Amino acid sequence: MGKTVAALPYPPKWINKYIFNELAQYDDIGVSAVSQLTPIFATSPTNTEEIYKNVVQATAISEPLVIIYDRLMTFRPSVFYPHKREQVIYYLYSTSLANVNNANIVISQLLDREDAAAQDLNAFCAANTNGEDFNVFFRNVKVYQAQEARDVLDLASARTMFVNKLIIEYDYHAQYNENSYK
Amino acid sequence: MRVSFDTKHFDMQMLNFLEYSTGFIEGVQKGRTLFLKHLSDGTSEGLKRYIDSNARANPQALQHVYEWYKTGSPEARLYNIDCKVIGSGISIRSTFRQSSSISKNSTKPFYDKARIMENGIPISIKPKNNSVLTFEIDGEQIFTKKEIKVPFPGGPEARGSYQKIFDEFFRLYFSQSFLKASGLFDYLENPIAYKANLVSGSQSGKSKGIQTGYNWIINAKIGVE
Repeated sequence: MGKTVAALPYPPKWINKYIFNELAQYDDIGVSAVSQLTPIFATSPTNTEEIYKNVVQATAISEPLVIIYDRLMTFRPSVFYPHKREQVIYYLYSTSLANVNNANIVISQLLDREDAAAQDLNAFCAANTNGEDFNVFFRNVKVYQAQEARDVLDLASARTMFVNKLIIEYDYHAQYNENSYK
Repeated sequence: MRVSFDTKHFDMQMLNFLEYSTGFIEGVQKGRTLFLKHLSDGTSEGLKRYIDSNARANPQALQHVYEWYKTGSPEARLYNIDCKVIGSGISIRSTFRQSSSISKNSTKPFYDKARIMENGIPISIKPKNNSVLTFEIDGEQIFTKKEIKVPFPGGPEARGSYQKIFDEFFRLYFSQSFLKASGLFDYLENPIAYKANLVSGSQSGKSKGIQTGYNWIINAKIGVE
């Protein structure tokens, strides 16, 4: 059987799953629990307004929350190479300021708890693999508020979008299996 | 009963230990410029990556500091970050480069694109030699003989956004997160090398201190991969 890259350890995949699961439990964030679409996207050349329109259509929420993320930094905190540290930047977009603020509060409180957050995240991922191999072990998670104020973005459609960003930092090691590199 | 102590050896060890400690500080001082060079290289690399990531996740704000249609790509940057070690520390300066790519609405590169859009300088575009201007808006091809005034080239989000991200890096991210996450903060806070060489330092004295201090400080680097 051929290998798939999706089977390799990739921490943002698990963090996104965890964040989505948490946000979808709230009624006042603009994330639909019933929709098949996870509104967390890796950066791509597609413009934000196009993505936003698609999410509005797919979720039937008029002011949904859309998150766009990108890997910010990878660090080598010690000489012990299996210990890895990364930071991912999350941009929260919504035409509702309340949704942006609420999502910010939930994500910060959920993940800015260092090893306690890592334990919860590991437990969630282990219990929600959906047939995938949970091959990452989180050791520590922190959240930084990179921006003091919310930004406002005027879309071509003359709608106003509110933007805020968070940086999520995590320490992890890969849990090796037949798919991973040792 | 009589007990006698040989304090000569103890005095010698104590003297060497003091010399080792003084030497360590001298070694650190000696390696300071090289340390600042490493710090400046790491900071410059971190800053570029910070700007690139932000540009990819929020292209409306930072597309003007990249070549057209390549927002966030390290190869398409229209900015330079120049980090230099000066006497007392590091000086960081940023300048803009000229764009060489051509927008689909143009036939020439936009002159001074990054600077004009960053400063929100209004521009007017006139047709040459009584010809017509043609450009595309939302998939529609427009033709006009009139002068076009663009109050915010690059969009209102572009104005001042490079300056803002630059400030944000140093004001918030650098001290809150970057130094700690990179391991540099912990390394400097805990000079293990000093302790590890204490025994040999108390025998060899100052030369060992200088060597230990110098090696310790020049190995203090920002571990960005």
